[in-house]
Amino acid sequence: MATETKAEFKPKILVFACNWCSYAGADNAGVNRMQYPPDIRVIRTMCSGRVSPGHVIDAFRMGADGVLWSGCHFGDCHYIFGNYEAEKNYKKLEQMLKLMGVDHRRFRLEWVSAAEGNKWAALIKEFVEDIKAAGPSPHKQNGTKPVELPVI
Amino acid sequence: MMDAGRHPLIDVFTLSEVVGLAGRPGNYRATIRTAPRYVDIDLCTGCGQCSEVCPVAVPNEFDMGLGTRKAIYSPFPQAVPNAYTLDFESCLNDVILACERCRQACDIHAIKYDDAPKEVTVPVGSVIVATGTGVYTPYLKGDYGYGIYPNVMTGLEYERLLNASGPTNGRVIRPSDGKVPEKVAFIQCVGARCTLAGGEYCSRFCCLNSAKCALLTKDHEPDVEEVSIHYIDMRAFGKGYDEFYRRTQGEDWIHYVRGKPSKILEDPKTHDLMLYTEDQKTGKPGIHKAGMVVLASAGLPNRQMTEPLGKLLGIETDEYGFFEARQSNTQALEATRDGIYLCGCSRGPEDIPDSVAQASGAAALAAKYLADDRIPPVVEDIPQVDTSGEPRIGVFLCHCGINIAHVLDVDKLGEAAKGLPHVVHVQSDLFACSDQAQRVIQEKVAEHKLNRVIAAACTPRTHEPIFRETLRLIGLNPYLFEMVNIRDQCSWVHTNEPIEAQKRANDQIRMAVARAARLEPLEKKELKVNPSAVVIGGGLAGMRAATDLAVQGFPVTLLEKSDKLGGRARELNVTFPEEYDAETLFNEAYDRLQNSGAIIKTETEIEKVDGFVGDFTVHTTNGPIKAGAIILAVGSDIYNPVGEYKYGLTAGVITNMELESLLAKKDDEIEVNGNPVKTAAFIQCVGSRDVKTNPGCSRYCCITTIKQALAMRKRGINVIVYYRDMRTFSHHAEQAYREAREAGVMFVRYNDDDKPEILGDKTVTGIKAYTESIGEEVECDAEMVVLAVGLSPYKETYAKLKEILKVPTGPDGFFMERHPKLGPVETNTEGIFVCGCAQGPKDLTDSVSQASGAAGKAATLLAHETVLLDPTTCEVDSYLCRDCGTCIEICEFHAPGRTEVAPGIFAAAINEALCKGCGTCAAMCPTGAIKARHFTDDQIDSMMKAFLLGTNA
Amino acid sequence: MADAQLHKKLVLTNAFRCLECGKCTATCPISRYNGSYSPRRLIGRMISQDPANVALDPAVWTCLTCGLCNTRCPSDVKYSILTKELRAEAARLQNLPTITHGGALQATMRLHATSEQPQDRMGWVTDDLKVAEKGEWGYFVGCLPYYEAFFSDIDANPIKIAQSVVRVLNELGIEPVVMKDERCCGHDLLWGGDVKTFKMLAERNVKMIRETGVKKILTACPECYRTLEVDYREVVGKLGFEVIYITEFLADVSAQLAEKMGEIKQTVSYQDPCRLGRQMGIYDSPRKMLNIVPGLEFKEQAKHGVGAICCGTSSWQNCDATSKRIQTDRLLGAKAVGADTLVTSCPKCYIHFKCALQGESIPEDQKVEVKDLIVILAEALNGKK
Repeated sequence: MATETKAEFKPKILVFACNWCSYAGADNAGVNRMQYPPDIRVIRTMCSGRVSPGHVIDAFRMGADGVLWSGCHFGDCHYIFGNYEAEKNYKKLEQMLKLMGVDHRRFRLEWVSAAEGNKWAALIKEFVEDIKAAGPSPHKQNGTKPVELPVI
Repeated sequence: MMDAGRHPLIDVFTLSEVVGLAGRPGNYRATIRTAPRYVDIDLCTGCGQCSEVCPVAVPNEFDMGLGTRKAIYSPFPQAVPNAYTLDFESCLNDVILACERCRQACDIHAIKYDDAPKEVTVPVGSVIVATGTGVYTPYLKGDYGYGIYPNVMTGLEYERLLNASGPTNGRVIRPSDGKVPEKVAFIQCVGARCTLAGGEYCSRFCCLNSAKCALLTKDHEPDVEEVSIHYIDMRAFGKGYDEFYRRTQGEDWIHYVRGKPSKILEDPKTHDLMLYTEDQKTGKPGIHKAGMVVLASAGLPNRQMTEPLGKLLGIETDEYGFFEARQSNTQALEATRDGIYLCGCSRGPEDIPDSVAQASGAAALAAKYLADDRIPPVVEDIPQVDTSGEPRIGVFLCHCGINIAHVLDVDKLGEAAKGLPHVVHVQSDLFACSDQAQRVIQEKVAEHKLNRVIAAACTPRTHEPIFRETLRLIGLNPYLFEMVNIRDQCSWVHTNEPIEAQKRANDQIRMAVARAARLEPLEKKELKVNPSAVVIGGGLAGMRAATDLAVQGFPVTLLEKSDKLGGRARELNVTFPEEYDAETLFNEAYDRLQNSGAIIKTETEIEKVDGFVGDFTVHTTNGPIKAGAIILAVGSDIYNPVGEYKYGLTAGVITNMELESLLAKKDDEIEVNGNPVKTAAFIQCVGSRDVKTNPGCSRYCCITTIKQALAMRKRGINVIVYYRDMRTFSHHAEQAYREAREAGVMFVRYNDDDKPEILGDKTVTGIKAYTESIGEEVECDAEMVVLAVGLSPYKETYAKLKEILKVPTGPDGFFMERHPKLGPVETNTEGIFVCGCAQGPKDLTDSVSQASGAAGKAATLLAHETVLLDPTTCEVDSYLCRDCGTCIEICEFHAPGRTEVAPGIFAAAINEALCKGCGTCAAMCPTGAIKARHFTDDQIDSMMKAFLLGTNA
Repeated sequence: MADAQLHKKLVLTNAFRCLECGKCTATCPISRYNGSYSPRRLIGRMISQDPANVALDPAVWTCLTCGLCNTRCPSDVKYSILTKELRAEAARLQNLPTITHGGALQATMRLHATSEQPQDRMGWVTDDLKVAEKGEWGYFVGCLPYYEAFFSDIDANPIKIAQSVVRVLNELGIEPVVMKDERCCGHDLLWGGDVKTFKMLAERNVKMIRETGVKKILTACPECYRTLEVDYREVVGKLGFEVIYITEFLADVSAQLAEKMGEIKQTVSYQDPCRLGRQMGIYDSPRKMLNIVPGLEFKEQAKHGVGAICCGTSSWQNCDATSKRIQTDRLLGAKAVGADTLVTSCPKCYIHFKCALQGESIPEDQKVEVKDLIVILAEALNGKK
């Protein structure tokens, strides 16, 4: 079994981004060529309210080292209060993950607007650093180790 | 371009010119002459075989002559139509011998050497002139060695270098030796703001263009060490432009240098350039060296084209050769003949957002003569592709020129995709969104019986609709399309980590494949449109929007909170520089409004808005109004400078608005505490371009100050203007600025961090400020200080409307448009449009033009009997529903309701017309009874598995 | 391969003895509301054709596994057990249940099986509660701390059950061993077809319990009880400790408790949990415990004991309109016999009933309170103080 040293550790980070603010903010970072670490993989949903605690817990179960859940700022939600519902669900999730002993550095709920490409880039940088500091997730499914995909 | 090219009601004539216009407004007959293309537009597939065999290479016009093209060619990758064209001038068949290589290479016999010019006469109701502008060619004057020194180029040529599909594939290299320059210098206002050559006016677009190009330089060429921008005034006046300008200022390798070089000399050995400049901080001349110089050349109309065209159409041109507006403030989009309209640079230089808004405006005005001839919707009958079987996925990868390909190995991405379950076809294109590539997608769908399509390209937020339409046209359900963003969220942001970026792209494609296999075909539902509109706000912008819609026959209600119409314009005396009497302008606008048939409701406020696009109910203090569309034109507040510059504490410190009313009393002397004012000082940018108050430029204040300064001079008052950058960019404003200087108005530039100080406690006695341009403090006696205050959001009104209309505001506090360039008058909420200062500060002309633009977009909606609803809504499985009421409680749009599914048994049901498809109820539903179409749990789950477990089951 | 195994399961659960009498369908609480569901037909299809076809039918997930039909069957076909086995095959074929709550609970259970990280789950043990790390008696808490977090919005407060257990035991002078890193028992995964993860959980928990050295482990959850007592043995063989349901233990010392109890003025009825009653045969000890509470009036419903009707949902899956109707009828049934409180002895039944009380389905004046038995006992003990 290959041993992962801290320096080589490439975290697997799942990001849920809402279409109207966060995903657009990520696009904005792109348009402005703001650089950030490539360790994230994004799933676009229409609203941050679409994401449920089950998705996040499942992501940890499948071996994610970190999960970022991102939506519009309060007052900016395209669906008015979708992000408030997201926050409600996130609070439940926070409790659940606390019980499971999941390091709080590994999951976050953040608000990024369509214009905040800079915030997006800074957030991803910070989150990736946090997770690198936290190290590989101890929650990974040990029976079926995540498949290492070939570098292409 | 593709939208226009594909629109069923738009006929595109390329290689064509108008050679005659007869008839009357509403009933014109335009004669169009089409030059021979020598290629059959219907047959040509754009395969390019002809071009490959063509032996002739000539400079490519699109690449500003920096690259070459063949005699038979497609002008640029995204050209519409994508059929090739033959340049007979350079074709060998024109000379002695027949070459005929292209005709032999063309398998479908599309090339016709005997093609001849054609002339057609078409009946038209209105004409829109959107001929754009030419550019000033420094070559003619040999400015700055352009045309002599190889490394001096124009801004447009530099744009081509920065373009991935341009002549250097996106490399910034010197024409002299192909090397990357260490230093690049941009020189602003070449041919603009100049009485020697070019035009006296400001070209509007060049400042930001240079700032953008400067920033992009390092992205393309990290070895460039320094970029300098030599300028007179930085005119970053558009929405968000100042924020961008500040950002570029923050880069330590970009230097903004005030002042223009007197000349440029070249070191003949190295072809390096020496700019002879003055260091404005010391006043000493010096030499600035650069490896490359970019001249931000100005927009200059092509008189040889505009003047004859003007004569032909019966409309006037101005002294520079731009088309003249009927009235430059409130009728800026109307040419001097009825039924002919102007937009974009044909009437003067414009940037993209203003041009696009004007285009919608011109369309709205043109519709006045077309309203009776609307064409009924075409019933399409496209046989549907059967998608019920096993998923067969096609993956189409885009290089986006080198935007993607310079970081990611697109071919290897394709190789990896080939191995994924259900993927039966993979291919890549230089530009997947080009007309030709889209056609290829259609062919491949048929050839490989694809029932799911993935594009790995840019962002779905802009390009998903294009791909979806392509699929819809061949009967493949557009919701069986999935997009992977490997540009905006990969190659552009992980430029320096290509290996990890490649991994990310691979993963995201694998996730998309997993999701695509689970996509379901969805059908759009139709909704009736109520063909009427409500305009909120009775200023000149709101009045204009209401008028433009009402003359097209749509019932319009104009709502105004106060007791009279006119808004901010009522506080003005005369407009400027044309000096129209503001009251006359208002009266004219009011007459037009009244004649249009719009219903005016003053002292009316909005309380609540129900419904959705096509069927809103606007609840007002005067009862409910039904409308299909809403236009938001509530204007903006004026910045209150209390606490700044001793305003409110010291007599003699007033705002420019207060001065305006003093100036209105034409016979009264201007005085402070009974003492006549001998000298007045203006301070610009009070509550503008300030991160603490309003981050952006307020656009109107520089020219207002010029107007007021001139008025003061006429009364014999000395005037000093303390400014940061004079932004006299609007029509004829630059000329007025010069006039003010000639009239003896003194202009003193102050630094951003060194604001002028007002002398005197109870009353103003003077003012002082340090100015870099002469290197010392300028102090003068003054009895009056006029603060040129900026425009601010109406905090409370905006907060309330934001809540009612669900339209977001941006970081500057103004209402956010859907997209600054692609949707400048639309909002994120369908059926609601925005114009005027509510969208961001602007002057009267731009507000009113934008109002026409909003009316144009609203009319596009209202002219349709029905609107199609996006089917990505939520649905309830009534058997799985426990009737717990959670969804009903959380939905802000009141989409879920309680229905009796069996006697005594209730379940939730979702009204699709109200559902916005956010999917929050699906996340909150305890039993999983609610399915968020197109974002199902199964689809999300499959993406997580594809990423985290690497499984694509 | 799979077919041979499946065939064996059919034999073991007596499926081939089916006489097609239809008593199962006639008695099935689901079939009563959802006419399209027939256990008899499913058995018929399984024995007359390839059982794998049935494993692909979504109806596999409809059964509540309440076992009512087992008790009525003249041929002793163990339908609920067969369903459990069939589900493992169904899940293998990707025929999956409709899971509730966005899968958060299943995801939690699976994470329990794989995570190497110790939990932080002891927050519910308040200062007044005494638990130990070593000792003879253990208390297997189950998922209550998680339910407390997750069901914070239905006014259920399920952690009170665990707190009440410790309170009652403390009253008897017992300081139970509570494991800091106890994992989910795996019941829901087992009955949801995920045998593999269930086994991981079983092995983990058994190892952990053995390490504490407890001789007797108490549970207050019928599902934990059945799983530890029956299903864990199938995985690990001999357990090395005794599993005792809380009421069985308390019934033996009821006299000792009764004298410490204060009066509770309530009229209650009792919901027999399927796992506790029909599957583990415990009917009397809960009733005995209710009867020692001074002031408590007990009303039995017609359908009780072996004939009791399930609470309508099981294993956080396939909860639907039928579930809600079953729950509504159970609540109204308690009201009909004059009870103001429906008592159950299963945290799941408790949460399901609490959920059913949400919304407008039951008129306010028809609503009854729902309580866990152990919570009533603890309240009675408190009442005396």
